[in-house]
Amino acid sequence: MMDLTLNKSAITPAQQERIARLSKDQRELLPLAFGGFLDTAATATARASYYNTRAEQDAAIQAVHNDLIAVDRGVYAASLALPGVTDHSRQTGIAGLLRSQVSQDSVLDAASESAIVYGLTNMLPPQRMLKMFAALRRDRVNNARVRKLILNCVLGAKNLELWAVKYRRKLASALTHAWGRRTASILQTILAKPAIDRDQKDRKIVARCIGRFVDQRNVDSWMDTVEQCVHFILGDESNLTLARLVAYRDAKVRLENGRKLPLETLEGLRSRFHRDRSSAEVLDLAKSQLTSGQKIALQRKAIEADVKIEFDPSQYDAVRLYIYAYEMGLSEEIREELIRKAEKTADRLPVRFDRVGILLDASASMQGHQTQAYRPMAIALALRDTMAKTATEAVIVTSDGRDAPVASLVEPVGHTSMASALIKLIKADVEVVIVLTDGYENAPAGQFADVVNALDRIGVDVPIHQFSPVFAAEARGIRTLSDSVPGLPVSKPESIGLGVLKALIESDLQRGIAALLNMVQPVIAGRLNDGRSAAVAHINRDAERIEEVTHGIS
Amino acid sequence: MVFRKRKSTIEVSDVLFGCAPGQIQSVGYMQVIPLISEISDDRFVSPINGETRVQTSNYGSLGFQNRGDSVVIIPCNAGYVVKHAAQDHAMAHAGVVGSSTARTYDTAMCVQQSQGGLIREGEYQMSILPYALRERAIDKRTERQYNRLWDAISLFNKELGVRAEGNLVAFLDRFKDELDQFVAEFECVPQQIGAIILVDDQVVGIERAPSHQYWLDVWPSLIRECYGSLAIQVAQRKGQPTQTPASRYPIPDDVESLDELESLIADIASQEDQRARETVRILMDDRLELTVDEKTCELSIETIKSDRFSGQVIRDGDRVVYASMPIRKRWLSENVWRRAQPFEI
Repeated sequence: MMDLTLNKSAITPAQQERIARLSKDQRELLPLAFGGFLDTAATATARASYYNTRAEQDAAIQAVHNDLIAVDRGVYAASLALPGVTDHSRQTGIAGLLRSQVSQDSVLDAASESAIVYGLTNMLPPQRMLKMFAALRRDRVNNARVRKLILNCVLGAKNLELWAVKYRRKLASALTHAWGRRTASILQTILAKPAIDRDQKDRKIVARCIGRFVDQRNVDSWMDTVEQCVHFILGDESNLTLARLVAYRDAKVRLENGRKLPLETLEGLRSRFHRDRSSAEVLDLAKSQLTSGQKIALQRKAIEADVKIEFDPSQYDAVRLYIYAYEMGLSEEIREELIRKAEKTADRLPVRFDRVGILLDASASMQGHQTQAYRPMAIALALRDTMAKTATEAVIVTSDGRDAPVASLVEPVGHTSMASALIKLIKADVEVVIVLTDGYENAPAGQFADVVNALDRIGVDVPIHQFSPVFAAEARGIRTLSDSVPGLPVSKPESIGLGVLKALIESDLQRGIAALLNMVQPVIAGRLNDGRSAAVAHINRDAERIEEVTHGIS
Repeated sequence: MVFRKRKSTIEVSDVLFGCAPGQIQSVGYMQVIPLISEISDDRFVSPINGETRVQTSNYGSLGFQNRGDSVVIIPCNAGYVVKHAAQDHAMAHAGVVGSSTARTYDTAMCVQQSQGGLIREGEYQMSILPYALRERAIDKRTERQYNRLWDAISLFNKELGVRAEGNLVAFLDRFKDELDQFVAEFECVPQQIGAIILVDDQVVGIERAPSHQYWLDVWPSLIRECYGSLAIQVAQRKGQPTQTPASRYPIPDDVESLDELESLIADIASQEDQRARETVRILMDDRLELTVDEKTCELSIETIKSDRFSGQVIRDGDRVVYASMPIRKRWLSENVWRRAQPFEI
C-alpha cells in the first residue's frame, strides 16, 4: 500500500496565527496561484524547450510568479525555498521580492522573509547570484535590502579569492551598485594604501563598508583577504599577495603562471594576451582547477585534444549523468552511481509502494530542444529509477513497448502511444501507475484519456499520476493526458515532494500552508537563530566549490 | 533558371517506391501517415545542414551558398523569415545547389510587403509556405515579379482574421502558439523519410525526402507553416478541437473488463492501420504528368500536372528522391461533393 507521511509541524505560533488570518480572497486564490507556480517553478529554466522560445518561457514564468506574490508574498517566498525549485525560479523570485515592498499581512513576517531571501541567495551558484545582482542594477533596484544582500553575500563569501579572478567585472558591478560610485572610488583609494598609512577616517570607512560584512568569527585573519580581493576587483593589481590574484596578474606576461586559475579565466587571458597559444594548451594548464561540471562537459573536448580529465560520477546529479551518458555512453561506473542515487533519493521521499507501475514516454518529443538536448528524457529516466526504488517491485514499460529497466538508457524516438502501455501496467496488478511524459499523445491523441475513463467505468481504482519533465509555456503549466489524471511538474526526482504539497494545498489550504512553512523552516530558523548563518551557509557552499576545484586530476 | 519542356508520366506509387506506411498519428483535425523506408540517400542534404548560407541580393532573388560536399536540395516553396529588418522571401519552386557552389534564384517572391531591406548572408531557420499559397506560387514559378504573391497572402490573412496585407509574418505571429503545437504533436519516427498528411479526413499532401536526416530537417516547417496552417483554417471553419482531443475511435461505454479493453485497443490500432493503408492504396494509381523545369547535378526538377496534386518532384533518373505534393485546392473543395451521400428519406 502507499504510505504517505508528512513531517510533524515545527512552525511557530505566530506563523500559525498568520495563516488563520488569511482573507477569503486569499483562500480562494491561493490554491490556483500556488499550483500554477509549482507547475513552472520545478521545471522552468527559461531556456528554449522543444516547443517554445526563451522569450515565451520568460513571459510565462513571470506571469505565474506575479500571480502568487500578489496573493501572499509569504507563501511565495516560502515556495521558492522548496526542494526541487529551479535556480532560475529562485532568481526570478528573489528579484521579485526585493523589488516590491514588504507586506505586514502575509503569512511570514519581515524578518522571516528576509531570512528566506538570504537563504535562497546562498543556494544559488555564484554566477546566477551575480546575474541576479546585475539584473537588479539594470532595473535600478537599490533599496537597503538589496545593498545589504549584495554586500553580505559577496564580502562574506569564503571563496572570494576564486570569485575575484573568475567574476571580476560582475563583482565590481555588484559592489559599485551596493556602495555607489563615490564610495567605491573612495574605497579604492583607501585600499591602495598600506594599512599602516591609513588614518582613523580611512579605517572607519573600511570597517563600515567592508568590515561589518566579513565573518566576525575570523575577522582578523580574513579581513586582509577580503580587502585584497576588493582592491583587485575594483581594478587595482598592485600589492597583491594572494596566490590566485598574483597568478592572474602574472599570467598576462607568461601563460604558465596561470595554472591556479579557473579554465575560463585562463582562456580569457589567453585570447587577450597570448593569441599564439592554443585552447588545448589552456585546458592542459588548467585541468587541476576544473569544476566537476566542467570535467563532465569537457570530456569530449579533452579526448579530441588528447588531454585526460577524469571525473567522479558521484559528484553529479542523476539528470546530469544521464545527459552525459547520452553523449558519451553509459559506463558501468555511471550505472552503479545512478542506482545509488536513486536509492538515496527514494529514501527521502514520503511515499512507499509494494508494486509500482511506471509508464515511460519514450517518444521523439522527449528529446527536448537542441539547446538542452535530452534533458526531458534524462529527468524522466532519473525519475523512473527513483520511483522504482520506492517500491518492493517495479513494472516499467515504455510508450512503444521497449524494455527500460532501472539505470538504462532509452532513446527517445517515435510516436506517443500510451494507452496500451497503461492497460499492460494495470493488468500487471500494480498499486499505482506513474506516467512520465511531456503530455503530447498522438497515436492517437485522446486515447489515454478514453482508457482512463473506461478503467473508471470498469471499476479499476488504481491511482494514476502524471509527472512532466518539461515546461510548456503555451499551457502555462504542464500538459495533461487526461482531465482525470493530475499532472505534476518535475525538474529532478526530489521534486516529487512538490506534487504532494500541491495536492495538500488544493484539498486543505491551512494544513497545506503549514506543511509548506514546515518544509522551509530550516531556512528561516537557520538565519534567524544565527546572525552569521549566511556566512556559515557560504562556508558550506564554498567548501564544496573548493572540493570541486581541487578534486582528482590526472 | 531555364525552363525546358519534356513530358513524362509517373504514378503516385513511383513517388512512394521503397516506402511503407507507419502507424498513423492523429491529433485534432490533422493526421499523419509516416512513410518509412530503409532507403536513405545521404548524397542530398537540406539547406539547414549547417553548411549552406542564404541571402537576398535583390528583391525577388534568393541566393544559396553551399559550402559542403553534398548536393543541397532546396524544398519546394522554402521561405526565410529573418529577425533582422529585411524583406522575407520564399522560393516559387524547388532548387538544387551543387557541392561547393553558389546559386541565386531570381524567381523568388517577397512575402513581407512594407518591409524593405535585404537578407544578409547567414544561416537561417527555414519555413515552407502555407498550403493555401503553394499552388499559386508554383503556378507562377517562372515569373519574376517579386510581389506576385502579395494578393494571395493578403487574402489568406484576411480569411484567417489577420491584417489583410501581403505580409506572411502577420499570420505567423498571430498563430505562433497553434503552429508550434503541431511540431510537438507530430513526431518523426525511426527511418521516416516522408509522410502523407490528412486534414479533416482528406489527403492534403504527400511529402518525400531523400533521407531520414533530410526529413528531420524539413518536417517541422511542413507540419507547422505548410499543413498546420490548413488545419488552423479548418478549425476556424468547423470550431476548435477540444483541449484533450477526442480519439478517432472512441471506446464504447459498455466495456466490462480489462481483457476486453485491451482487445479493443488492439482492434482500434488495427483499424487505424487499415485506414492508413487504405488511404495510401486509393492514391497509388493516380497518374502524375511531369514537366521538366531543370536538369542539374544529375537530377531533374519536375513540376506535377494532375487534377489532384500540384507540387514538384526531383528525380535521379527514374527514381524519385524528393517530392512535395500539396493537393490542389479545387480538388479539395470538390471532394466534399465526391464524398457526399445521396439524398435518402
